[in-house]
Amino acid sequence: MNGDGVVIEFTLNGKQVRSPGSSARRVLDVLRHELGLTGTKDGCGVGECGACAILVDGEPRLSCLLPVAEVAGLTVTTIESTDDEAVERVRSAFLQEGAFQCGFCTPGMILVASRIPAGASDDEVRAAISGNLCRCSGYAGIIRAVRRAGAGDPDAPGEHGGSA
Amino acid sequence: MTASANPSGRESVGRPIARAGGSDKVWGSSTFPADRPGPSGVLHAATVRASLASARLLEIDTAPALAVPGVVRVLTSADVPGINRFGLAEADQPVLADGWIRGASDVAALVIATDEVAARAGARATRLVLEPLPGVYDVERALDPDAPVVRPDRPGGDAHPNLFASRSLIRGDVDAEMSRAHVIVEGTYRTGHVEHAFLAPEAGLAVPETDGSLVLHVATQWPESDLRQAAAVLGEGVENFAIVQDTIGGAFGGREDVSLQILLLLAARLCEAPVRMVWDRVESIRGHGKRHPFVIRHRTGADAEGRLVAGSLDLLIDVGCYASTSRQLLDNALVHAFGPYDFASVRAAAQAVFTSNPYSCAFRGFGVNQVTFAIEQQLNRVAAELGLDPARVRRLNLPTGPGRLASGCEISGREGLERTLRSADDAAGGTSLPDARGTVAYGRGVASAMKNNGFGFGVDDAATAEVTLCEGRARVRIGAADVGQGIETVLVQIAAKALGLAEDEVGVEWRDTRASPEAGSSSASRQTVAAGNAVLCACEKVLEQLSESGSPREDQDSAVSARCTWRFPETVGMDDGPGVHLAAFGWSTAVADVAVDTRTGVVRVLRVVNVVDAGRAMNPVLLRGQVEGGTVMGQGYALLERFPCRDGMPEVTGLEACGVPTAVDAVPAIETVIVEDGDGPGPWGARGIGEVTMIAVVPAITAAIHAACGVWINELPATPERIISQLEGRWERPTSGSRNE
Repeated sequence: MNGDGVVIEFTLNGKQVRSPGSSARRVLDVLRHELGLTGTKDGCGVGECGACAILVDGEPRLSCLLPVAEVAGLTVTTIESTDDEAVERVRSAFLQEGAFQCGFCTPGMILVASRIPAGASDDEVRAAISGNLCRCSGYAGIIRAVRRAGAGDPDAPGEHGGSA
Repeated sequence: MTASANPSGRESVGRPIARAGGSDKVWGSSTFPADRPGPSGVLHAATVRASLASARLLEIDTAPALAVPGVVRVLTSADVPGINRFGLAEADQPVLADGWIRGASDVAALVIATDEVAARAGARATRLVLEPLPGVYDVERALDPDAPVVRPDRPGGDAHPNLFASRSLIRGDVDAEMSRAHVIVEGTYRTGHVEHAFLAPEAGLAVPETDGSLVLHVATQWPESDLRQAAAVLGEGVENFAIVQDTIGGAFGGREDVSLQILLLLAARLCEAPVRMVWDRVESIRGHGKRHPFVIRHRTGADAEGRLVAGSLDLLIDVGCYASTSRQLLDNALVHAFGPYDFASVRAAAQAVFTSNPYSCAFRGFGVNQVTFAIEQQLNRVAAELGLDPARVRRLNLPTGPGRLASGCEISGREGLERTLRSADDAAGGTSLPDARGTVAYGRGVASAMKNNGFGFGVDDAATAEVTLCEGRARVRIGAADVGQGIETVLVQIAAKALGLAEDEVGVEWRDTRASPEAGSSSASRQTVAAGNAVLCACEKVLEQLSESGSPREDQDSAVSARCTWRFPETVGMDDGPGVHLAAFGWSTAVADVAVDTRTGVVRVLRVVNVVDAGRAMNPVLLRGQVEGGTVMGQGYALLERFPCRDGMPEVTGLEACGVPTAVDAVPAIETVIVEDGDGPGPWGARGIGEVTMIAVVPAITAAIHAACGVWINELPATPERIISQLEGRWERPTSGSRNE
């Protein structure tokens, strides 16, 4: 990859990282190919499906449309994050509600859902995730999971947590 | 079948056990094929595709591609060592085009390079010399005497060269019965292509092993079929190849046909190196098939009480440019074309024709969605003409006990549909629709569906499982693809129940064709039944061995292993005359409430009650997910989804333009009702329900549109433009009811 001499630094899931490649490179590619974090998915590359959603300074952004230069000095959160309470709450609610099937939209969906304010109406939840396509679930389980996460019982036991 | 007591005191089957691998999915640590970077030295492949769907391919100039730094090789049809043809049911698609381009999915050449950017640059640099050929793009013109011949490469006969398959059937005297009918309803229904829109685009990695074999990491519905097709193309024994399934990012039928599997194996073999390829969304949309477009002409006669006395039907199916499973789909559609209902007489003719459109392939429902939309709309129109309750008309024409479908297929258990009708009444009754306000009118519609479990038509439809019990843990090996539907979890539950273990004492291994025996395709709503029964049977054999050895299982520390192949009951092909064409069916009834804005034609679906006869619910959370997902996919098919093509080339490059429903579009209230009567063909009476969940939703929505605004939808999707056109009477109503006086 040809660099342009600019090294981009940002905070990724609580750690300082450096991207020595081209500053025009998509954050999606930096995450997946340079940094080996493949939880962020490439579903369309044109901002239509939301599978590549990440949080930049806590705000949902599409990493397929984001040049890495735009996150210089900022804080990036991906699905691999272990220290974001809201993400953890939604993740656990997704498991409890079975809010996913194939799981490809799930990382982006969880990150976007984690920024929905508690107490949001179903319509507000739907609007918030309307940029994230899911072909498997019909969204109903996802809405239930967001509602559960917003209800704020992160420690409620799952049916059978963990992978079988 | 007997179930052992579960020592943990829990009944594994029927409980909402968390999805196997679920934790990986919410942490982003599942490995989808595109997540595999490949070993060092991996090469990258990119396809060269033509700009036309119908053309002579006169020349491929690879020199400009080979001049791109990093490009190591460009493969063309001359490089194929074996037979340059593949296909799921018949091998008629070129792996690499050899002289002709017949459809949008054709690949002309494959560029191999040391990195992905170079491979793509090489693909762009490759020059194709094309001579445009006339194509057939309108399925209704495909059999015109002067229609261009789409597939001159196929053996000719007396029939029109574009006719791929046809079938007709006659039972009783349709003309006599029709003349006695009190009401005759005529309808012509049209449905279009639909994109599967699974979220993970195709990707894969083929790796040469030290023993000379090739291992392909990919996501597919039927790995063994892929390998058999690949072996013929590479001219080698199938034992030289293996598939290791990565996480499968949705499928819906769209991963049953081969996409990039053979290209990767071919490239890895010829380059003697690992080769990786990742398709972007644009290529994914071009590279796999689409749902079959249908034109369906019905003439349905009923007596004054609503009894169906005569049905006349013409089906015209757009095969597109390659056979895929269209021959099987035609038969499947025909068997379902009159629904589960009794007709005193029927006459049907079905034709599947080649066009230069994208090839049509399996897609959740396999031809049943199209014909069910049409027959259910016909039934609802008969009821409306006679002023009868549509559910009552269904009951009146629904025989119980063993009998035959109008198409001739022997069937029993149609009571299943009656059960869903009853539950739908219970669930939907008691709520009323709002009164019309301004230009917004409300309506409720009801429709039912049946869908086969298993392939039928004489296919040896089997699944094999191997179960090993050792030190209180069970290892289940069976190659059933978990496409997201959750079959891995269901098989864990079945084995846990059968062996009296906890779920975490059971491991299901399905990914590696070298280790796990073949379960057949994850399609046709068949894996809970086929793979489920195979696992249950192997578990029972293990228990038999244990009881023969006489040692209490707690003391047993050496492994006990058993293998079992389960087969669907025998079926017969349509060529073999009447009989059991399809071995088992599932049932559903849907009730839809809609709001139609009669000024704009916009339809909002307010609520769907989706009643599904699951026989026995294996896992209520997974089952509910299937029903909800099927409901919204049905809603998309009914109202939103389209796939426009121009001269055989997709005009859309993204999912938004395909009309895939978003969370805002999706039905806000889905009520899932599960009927469990324990009489399905699967373990403990389960049925496969993956497809039937979406089928009744479509005609329920179109019936609700009629109830709201008086428009009978005859073309999918029911766009605002189509509704407004009909409301304004700008279109001549192509169909209408008539009465014999």
